[in-house]
Amino acid sequence: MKFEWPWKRQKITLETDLKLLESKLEAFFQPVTPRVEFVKNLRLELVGKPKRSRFSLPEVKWQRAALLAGGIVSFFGLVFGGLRIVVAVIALLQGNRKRIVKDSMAKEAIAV
Amino acid sequence: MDLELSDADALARAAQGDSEAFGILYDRYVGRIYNYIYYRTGNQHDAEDLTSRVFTRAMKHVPTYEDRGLPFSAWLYRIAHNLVANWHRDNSRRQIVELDDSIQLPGSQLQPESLVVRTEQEEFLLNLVKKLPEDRQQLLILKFVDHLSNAEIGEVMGKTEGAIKSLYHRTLITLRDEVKSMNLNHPFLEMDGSEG
Repeated sequence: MKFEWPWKRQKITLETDLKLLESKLEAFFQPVTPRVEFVKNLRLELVGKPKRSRFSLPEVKWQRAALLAGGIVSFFGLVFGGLRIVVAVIALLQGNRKRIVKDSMAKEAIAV
Repeated sequence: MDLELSDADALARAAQGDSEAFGILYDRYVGRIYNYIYYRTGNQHDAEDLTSRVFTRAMKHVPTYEDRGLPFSAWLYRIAHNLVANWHRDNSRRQIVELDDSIQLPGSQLQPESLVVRTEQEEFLLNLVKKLPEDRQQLLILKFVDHLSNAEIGEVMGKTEGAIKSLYHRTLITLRDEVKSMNLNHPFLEMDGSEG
């Protein structure tokens, strides 16, 4: 059997007791949630109605500027993309028509 | 975006009269301050009353707030601490209720119809905590309810981190000795009672 000095055993027991006590305190002091109406009413009383929603523009100037610039660039990007599609479709249609005309002319020439 | 605003920035804006900035700080700390006061007063009604007084006072003094390196949260806790101390003093004069005996444990507060019966152990622990000096009670609440670090507790209580650590250790030993002196065979800590 391993020999233990009495003071060492005492220290171990003290540490165990304190850990146990700590866990009891942790379990006892559970956070409580204040009533929602109380929190809401007090906020109203202090600052009034919220002015901005989470999705509104931020206050900081450079962030607002970056957001606006991003919006403008995206808008022109979309317009440019749309125009390119339209031009491409027109070009495709014109190309087809020219080919059809060319084909029909070739057929006529052969027939002649 | 506003939710990412630091306390210092929100405070600076609040000091310039931006009430919404103060609202951000309010949203951040109302729960913690309420918890602190709730455990110091022991009932919902006074906790709500004192919490509203803390924030009203804070809002009033925000324009004259001086940054002395103390976080905003510590400032709020100090206001709360002072108000609770006044509340205790007033109540002890009036002697209407015996303080802290009225503590409703979490859960019982929100659903009165399903009142949680306070267990023998909780009752025992509550009596032990009640016997502690005020600063030690404050320390336990800040540590276990508001989950503040020793450094943060030090800022609130005006002590160093080391002093808080030491005070906490001494508090635990006091509680443990109290358990032993009250009843060696008490099952609370399941101590062997053979030493100490």
